[in-house]
Amino acid sequence: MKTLKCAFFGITFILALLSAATAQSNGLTAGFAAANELYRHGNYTGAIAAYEHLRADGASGGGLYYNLANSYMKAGMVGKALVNYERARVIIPADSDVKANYAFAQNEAGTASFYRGEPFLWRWIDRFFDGISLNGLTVLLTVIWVVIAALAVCRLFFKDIRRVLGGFIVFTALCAVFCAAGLAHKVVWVKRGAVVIEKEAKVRFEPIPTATEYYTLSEGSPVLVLERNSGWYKVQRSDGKAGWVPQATMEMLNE
Amino acid sequence: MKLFRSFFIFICALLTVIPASAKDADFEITVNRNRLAVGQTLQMNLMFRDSQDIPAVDLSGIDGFQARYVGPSTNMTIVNGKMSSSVTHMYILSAVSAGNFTIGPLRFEHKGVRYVSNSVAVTVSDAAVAPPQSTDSSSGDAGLKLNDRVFVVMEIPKKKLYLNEVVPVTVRLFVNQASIRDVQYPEISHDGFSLGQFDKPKQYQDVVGGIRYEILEFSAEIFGLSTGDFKLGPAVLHCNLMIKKKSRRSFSGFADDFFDSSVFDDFFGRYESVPIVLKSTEIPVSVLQVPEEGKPSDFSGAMGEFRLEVVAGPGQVAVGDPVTVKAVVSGTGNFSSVVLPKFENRGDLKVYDPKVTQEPGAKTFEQIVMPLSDSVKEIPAISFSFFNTVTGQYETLRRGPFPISVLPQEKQQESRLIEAAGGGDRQVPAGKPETLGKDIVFIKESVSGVGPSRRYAYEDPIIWAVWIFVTLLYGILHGIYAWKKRLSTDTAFAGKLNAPKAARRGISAAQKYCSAGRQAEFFDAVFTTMQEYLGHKYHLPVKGLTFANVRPVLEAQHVPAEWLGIIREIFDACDMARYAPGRVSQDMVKDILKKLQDVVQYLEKQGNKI
Repeated sequence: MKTLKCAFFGITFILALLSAATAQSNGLTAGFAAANELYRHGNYTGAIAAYEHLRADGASGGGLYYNLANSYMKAGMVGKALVNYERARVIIPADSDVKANYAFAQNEAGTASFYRGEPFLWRWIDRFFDGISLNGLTVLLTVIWVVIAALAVCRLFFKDIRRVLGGFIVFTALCAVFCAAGLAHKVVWVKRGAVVIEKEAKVRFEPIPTATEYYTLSEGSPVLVLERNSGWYKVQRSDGKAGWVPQATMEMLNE
Repeated sequence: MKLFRSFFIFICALLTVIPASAKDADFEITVNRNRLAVGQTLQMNLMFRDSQDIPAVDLSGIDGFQARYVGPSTNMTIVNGKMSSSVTHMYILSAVSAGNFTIGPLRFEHKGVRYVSNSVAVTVSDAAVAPPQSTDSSSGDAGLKLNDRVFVVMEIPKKKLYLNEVVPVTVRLFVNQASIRDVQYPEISHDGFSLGQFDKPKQYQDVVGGIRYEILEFSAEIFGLSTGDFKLGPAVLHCNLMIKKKSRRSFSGFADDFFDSSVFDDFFGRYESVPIVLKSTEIPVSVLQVPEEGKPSDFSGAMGEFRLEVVAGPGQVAVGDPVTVKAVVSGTGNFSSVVLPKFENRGDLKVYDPKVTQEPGAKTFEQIVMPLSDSVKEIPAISFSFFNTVTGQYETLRRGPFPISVLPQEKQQESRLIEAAGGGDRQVPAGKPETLGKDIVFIKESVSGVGPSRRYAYEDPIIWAVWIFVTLLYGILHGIYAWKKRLSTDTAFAGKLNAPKAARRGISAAQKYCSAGRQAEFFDAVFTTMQEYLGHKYHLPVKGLTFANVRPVLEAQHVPAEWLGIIREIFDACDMARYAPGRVSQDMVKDILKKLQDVVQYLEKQGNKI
């Protein structure tokens, strides 16, 4: 009897979870479709509000960020569009529509990706892993690590082919290092990347409104956020120059 | 008779012709010095190439000298399978009278071949004013100073240049019987000139004034930047001269000869490197302005001697099709100032910027011209004006015009090039020219991929668990492998591990025998257990192990005498049971069993403490 009662409550709990998930999914689908409808009718401001509402409810996905970015583009907010294209690129970097619109937005803003100004090696790594998502790269690195461990175990027990296995291990280890560098690169961008969303952002030497101006960032410029301090971000441009900007002029990718 | 006469005349003619057809060959004479005093000697070498059977030449008739033949030296080399040989006859000439003498050209004939040499000038001074003859063989040519053996010469072909005229400048390093290393590229003071980079130097030998030199030749190009009189150079060249160090004299005459030989000098590196700076003389150069008189209107500053070739094609095109005009200017001179006039856009002719490529000795201009109307009958002529630095005159080369046939628009469907998606061009029928619009791609309608926000994979505990699990698994497997390997290779270690197991097995068997009252089997088991346990534990041979041969090991392990006594008791009891089984009682059996267990326990504890 006791067992039956436990089983009953267990099944009920699982069903409740499933139905909650389904309900959430249905709500998401309906909300997404409604936002698309607004976009189709040219109501870009409404579409922006609808997509942002979905985000605020905890939704995410490459398609959502892409559509939101398109809406911002149509509404003339290139900076907001670029930050959402960057979010979409983290999830679906190989998507041709995302690539095309991202390039278009960069062209409109007159900006380039952050790692353009980096040394050759980082630029090359950025370009090499451009079409692989963050999650994809993590899985790839995990697979490589498993392969290395398997080869190392085989090397212990198959003495005849030790040298060959040793060579393979070295090669896969190098691949792992390379992938790890690419993954680290992407993680840094996801955690600390930001885009200017105002027409221009004046970067100053100190987090004080009257501090000396260092340089100006235009809308859509990508930066890395190094620190936060009382409503200011310390940001670094792709050429390494760092300074302070008001937080309101930036939007971080992980916001 | 007539026939005989004709035959006789023919034979006579043949005999006169044969000597005349004897072959001529050169040979070379060199001397080791060309200044000496009366009574001094010089060495003269006669070198015959591609031959080794030339006999010594009689030099008794040389003015001012007495010749003595020293001997021959032969040389054979095989390079890329091709063999070449030479023979050098060496003579010592003693100067018998003062004066300026010319040795050679020497002539002689051998096996139908006439040999003729070069000539060498030698100056013989009176003995009273002659430079002292050095006895040190390492100083090279006696009488030749270092400046005569190692020196630099700079040359240019002409000393009057026109502005922008390019001329070659050559710097030669002459070396005779000296060891020179680390030769740097020469530096030339060139105010008023532009000096190009020196090419890779050429190395060769040559005879100058009868002395053979190793020559290193550097070449570059210069041209004047402004008019006026200038001094080019001097050319300065840095290098290192290898000089033999003065060797230490030892107390033994034999050792002196032995250790002071050049073999040992070379072997033990008794040369020192002395940096030297060699300078050539300056060369006065005048840079002249090109004359204004006769200067063509399209002259762009090209200086040299050039040729122009122009090809235009295809000869028949449709309206809007490209015609390629390729003009090649070749020759010698300053190509940087060679510029061809471009065609200009006209209402009926569209012109694109030329593509210019340059290679040594030629510059190519490729220009695309597109007729926009069928009224175009020709591509205009191309002219190129330059100042010929050889003749000192302006020259204008003109090529064309180039007739073409342009098909009218109605008879040829207009086509245009568009860029296809896969790269490469396609010709498609065209309507009006179009401008492509640009905008973003439409939104995504599908909701797939959109869902509740999730953490990234690198933050997922499952991924980290996989990483840690794989690493641990490998660590465990590696540990097992290392453990097994140690057990198989380190027998002492393996034995130590196996000892307690063997003891437990043995004690268990002994207990059974004890309970069953089987004393003989009991003592056998006890004896075997002691042998196996002590043998494995202390890495001793198990078979034949007795108290006598295990005692030293136990004492080395600091086993107290009390326990040594117990171990001895056990061994003695086993012996007694074997040889005097009647004296063994069940109490004794139990006692021995207890002692066995205590000994094993004690030794295990002691082993762990150690």
